[in-house]
Amino acid sequence: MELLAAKITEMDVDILLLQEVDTDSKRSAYIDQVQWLLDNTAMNYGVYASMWEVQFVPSDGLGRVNTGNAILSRWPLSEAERVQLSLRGDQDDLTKAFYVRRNVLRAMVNYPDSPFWAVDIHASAFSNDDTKQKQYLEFKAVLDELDDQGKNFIAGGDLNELPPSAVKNNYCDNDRCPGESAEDDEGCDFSNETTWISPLFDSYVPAVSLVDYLQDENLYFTHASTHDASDERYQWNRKLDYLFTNTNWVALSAVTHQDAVLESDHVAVGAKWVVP
Amino acid sequence: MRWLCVIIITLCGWVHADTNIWSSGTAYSLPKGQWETGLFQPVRYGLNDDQDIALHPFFALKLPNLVFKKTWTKKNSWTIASQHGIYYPTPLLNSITGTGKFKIVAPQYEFPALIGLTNEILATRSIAKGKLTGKAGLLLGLGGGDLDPLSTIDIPLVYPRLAVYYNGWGLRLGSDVVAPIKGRWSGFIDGDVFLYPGSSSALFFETKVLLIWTKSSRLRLMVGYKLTYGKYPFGSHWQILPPKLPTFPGGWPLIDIQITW
Repeated sequence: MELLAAKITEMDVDILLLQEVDTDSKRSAYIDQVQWLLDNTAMNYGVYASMWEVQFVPSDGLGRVNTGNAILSRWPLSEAERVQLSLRGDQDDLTKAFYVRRNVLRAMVNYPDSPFWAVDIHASAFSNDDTKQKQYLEFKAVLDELDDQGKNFIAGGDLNELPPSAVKNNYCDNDRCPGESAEDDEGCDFSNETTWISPLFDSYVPAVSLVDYLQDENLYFTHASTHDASDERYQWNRKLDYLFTNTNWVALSAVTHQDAVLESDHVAVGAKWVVP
Repeated sequence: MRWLCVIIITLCGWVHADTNIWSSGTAYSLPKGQWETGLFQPVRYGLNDDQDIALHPFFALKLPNLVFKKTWTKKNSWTIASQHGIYYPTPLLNSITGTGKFKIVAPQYEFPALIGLTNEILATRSIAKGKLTGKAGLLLGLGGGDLDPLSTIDIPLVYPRLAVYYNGWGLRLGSDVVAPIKGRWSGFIDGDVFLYPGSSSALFFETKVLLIWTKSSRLRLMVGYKLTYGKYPFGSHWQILPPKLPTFPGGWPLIDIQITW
């Protein structure tokens, strides 16, 4: 957490879109990470939407869990809303009852004289059906509604999806741990999903354009097959995290912070945006 | 469903005799040679008319346990007993540590040899047509000096009973009242306080309310709820048990069957 706070301070961030933020979880020693970051960075306001709030998860030592999306801001936030995304369609009812509830969190940033909206998403990671496609359309519907109302927004998060033009789209061999069989593969084969986030790229402005991305994919990767530094597969190998706006990003301002290896299991994506 | 019906029919088949021996939780010991058990209760056996022993058979392999009770004397209408228990939870705790389903302690933790000792004084007297029992006990948890404070299982009923291994010692105070209501129906209410001085999770309270239907002196059914409160590592928490689950949002009551023979 201290590394993360230092990185946020170093980046001089104004708006943070965060995913998998724990507020009351055994695995993070019950630290309210939203409050902790507010207390230890220049961020002044925060909103949170849980995606998994369970008193006790009886597996992997998880125990009590409350984790979700958060938006932190230097300016006051209001009108925060949690928009439920489709549940996984490839799980039995019992598993689904206890599983995570992905969502979009949106809030108005009350920047003086020129409020705008921040929209944060964490899409499904391991579904093997069309769940993610439904979720992207639901995410886009949130953005479309704001756009139709003439409101400016910055949006983004962990889409758990490759860019539409990604050269490689199957990571199952990379992700499989020793002893795991191909039957257990989840969320690693993107070959049938190559156009699922195209509507977002078609309608809005990405911080990293597909043209830039294709010039050198490696520069923009945000995720690795493993987070074990002693594992030979420990290297960023795909882009899953995105930023979009319905106005414009400052040219050449997007940064994929691949140096921040200990702060998170995903690489932070940042960009400069001028309030219209 | 079929096997459940068979069990109930079998239990009903044992119904005979007419001895009032429901003494679990009281200062009374089971008569010599008498057995008593329940779905969620230990098997008890009367060694002689003022001593009995009890153990939870389902947990015996993973959580060796034994409780001995001796009824000492009767004074001013109070019957006085002492109860002494020994527990070895290490095999159970290590068996639920790891990765995967039903591994409820994270794999980075390991439990050393832990021994739990309980020593309680129980005092029971008749009130109206019912019984009142008061109890006070010293809890000792041995071997837990190196336990990682993050290895706890932070849920009601479990946390208060394992906290002694993290704190080294604790106190348990409580009382029970059982009284007839009408005909075969009676009511039971109890309250227990666990105190762990010096710990940040120092106070736990449990109370149970049961409606008891006595089929005969050999069989009774109980239904009710338990209310718990405690200061857990994540904060103070009240909870009614059994808990509601996403799959059973309406919840269901605590149900127990107690038999003796």
